Amino acid sequence: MKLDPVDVAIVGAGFGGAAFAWRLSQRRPRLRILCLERGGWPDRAAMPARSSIWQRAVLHEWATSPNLRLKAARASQSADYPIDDSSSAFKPLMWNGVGGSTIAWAAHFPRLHPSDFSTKSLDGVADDWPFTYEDLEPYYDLNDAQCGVAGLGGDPAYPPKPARDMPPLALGRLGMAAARGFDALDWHWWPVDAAINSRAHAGRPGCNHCGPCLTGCVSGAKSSVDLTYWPQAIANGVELRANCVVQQVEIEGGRATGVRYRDAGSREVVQPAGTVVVAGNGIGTPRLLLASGVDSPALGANLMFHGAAYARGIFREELDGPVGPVGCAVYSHEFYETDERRGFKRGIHLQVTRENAPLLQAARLEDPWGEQAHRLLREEFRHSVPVLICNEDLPEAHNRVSLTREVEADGLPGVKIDYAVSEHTRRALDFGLDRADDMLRAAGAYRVVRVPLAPLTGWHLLGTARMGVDPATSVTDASGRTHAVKNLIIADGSVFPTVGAVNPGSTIGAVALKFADDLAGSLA
Amino acid sequence: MRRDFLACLVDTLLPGEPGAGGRATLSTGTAAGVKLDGGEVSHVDILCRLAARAGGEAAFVEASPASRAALMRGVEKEDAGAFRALVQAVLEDYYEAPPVLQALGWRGGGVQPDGNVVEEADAVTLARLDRQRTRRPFWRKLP
Repeated sequence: MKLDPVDVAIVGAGFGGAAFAWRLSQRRPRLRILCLERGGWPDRAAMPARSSIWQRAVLHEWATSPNLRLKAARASQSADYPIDDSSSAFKPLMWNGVGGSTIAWAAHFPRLHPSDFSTKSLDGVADDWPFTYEDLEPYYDLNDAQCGVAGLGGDPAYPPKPARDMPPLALGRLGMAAARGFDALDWHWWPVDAAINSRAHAGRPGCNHCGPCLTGCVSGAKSSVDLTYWPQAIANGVELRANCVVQQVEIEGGRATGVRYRDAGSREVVQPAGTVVVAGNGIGTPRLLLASGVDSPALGANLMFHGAAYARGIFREELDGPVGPVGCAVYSHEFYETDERRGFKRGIHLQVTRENAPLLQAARLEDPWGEQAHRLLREEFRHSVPVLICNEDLPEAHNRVSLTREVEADGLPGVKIDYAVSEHTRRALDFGLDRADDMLRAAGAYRVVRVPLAPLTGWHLLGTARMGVDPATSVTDASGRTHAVKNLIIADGSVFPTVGAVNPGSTIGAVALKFADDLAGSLA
Repeated sequence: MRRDFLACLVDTLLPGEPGAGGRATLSTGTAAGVKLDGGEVSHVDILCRLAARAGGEAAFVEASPASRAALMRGVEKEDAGAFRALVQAVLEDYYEAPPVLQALGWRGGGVQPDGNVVEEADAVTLARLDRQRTRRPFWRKLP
């Protein structure tokens, strides 16, 4: 079946696709814009937080890993495909449906630093972005306004940002304990920016700290693009077709002519389009483009996650326990910028998060059964402060996404990732673990548990179709246009040449807005 | 499989706490309502191995708690993945049981619609934050 052409076909309704669709529809209201999404709309009534068995959901049909969800006895709302991650130190995490991974994210919303855009010039590592923080700043601001940010101005770790829409989320006893530790060492700390309502805002309620943000937000207090960008984009005239799995970008004579997809009824449909935009995340995007025969040597290479480790301090005082939101409460960028005396370049992000549900706290114990397990859980439950350490992962060509010889149930080739922890990342994480240990003990922890590598943190799927000037080493230009096919644009985290040491959601949204403006300008 | 074998196994994994100073204690697994029915396809192999290692289900039941635990440690060492999957299944039922959550000072049931109360920053913390505000910006400027 061949349909009437559209001006722009977007593949993927996650953060990148949503921001791109909204901005382009705002700038060019006469364009016919269509978005095809492999999954469906989230069903908030079926999210587990109202159920008495909400804790186990994150191990099964609401697991963060698509591979675990595919093994779950109950069907997931996420339209997943398997990923061979047997050769990867970090396991890829994502959500496949309208809203993408914002459905299951923690909504921690930091920006990159200005130095993150110039690592080659400043530190002689990796590559510079083809634009600067200042170029992206208006789009960060616009993205903040669209998503709604709770936070506090005046952070000395960043250039000034606009006043936040809402005050920061409550620090809680846990956050205050961490602040005590950072303060004792005279280190930087600050309440996090979160894309979560700390009070009612933009028609959504304030967060009531229920806890399990990663299994979806039933109240809608957490920003996700199905609630923010999509309703406005649709009101602007964008058509969103859910449950449509794009099989191929159709390319003829070096130009994209449209996409071929399998609709909800398993019919093959050809959708002609003047421009094709792919926003399927750092794994889904190279998978589709490799399957479509896009010829670009860097496509799939340079996969970056962010190295991740964590430490938790055990305190005698009673703390909060498993309250939300999980991505809070405070962070430190004391060690974010390069100091070569540390033995590595670039830096680390220390994020004091909230605690897990009792089941997960019990399951994570080194020895989770027997008398000792009860004793340890009793010691830790409501007495622990976790600190996540993220470092700036650097691009390495051997860390990559590739296709397998299999054909998966969704009709696309199978996908495999290869990722090894570099010596650079290991040094940075060890340094970060030592600093987290210092802070926790300064705050009063009598014991610190160190987890040297946290494999189930692979939300940040970045770098596999990076921007640059040279087609031999990059996939797109500074506007997301692929070097190989000029009317094919990539608008997600795949395009990041480097990744800083912070969560990428804010930057993915800002970059997609910029790319949409660039396209709108070129169509003028 | 014998019910007493499965119950013994659950209580070796989750033996509960001794009473202490009037505090609500964590109960044994079976007292919290955790049940294995032996028909769980995903765990049959590991359950059979545990029974075989003990010399039969009856022998496992008759063994001392310390002997049972030692035997299970041996099987855990041989096949950590399958053993951990069994442990996880048992933990899921245990830590969602309201009496267990109450013993931990928490509440059972869904976390919505009530949510939780989280304290706002106190005066001491706000004073610490004020010290941060006076710090000179330290983000790295490009030359």
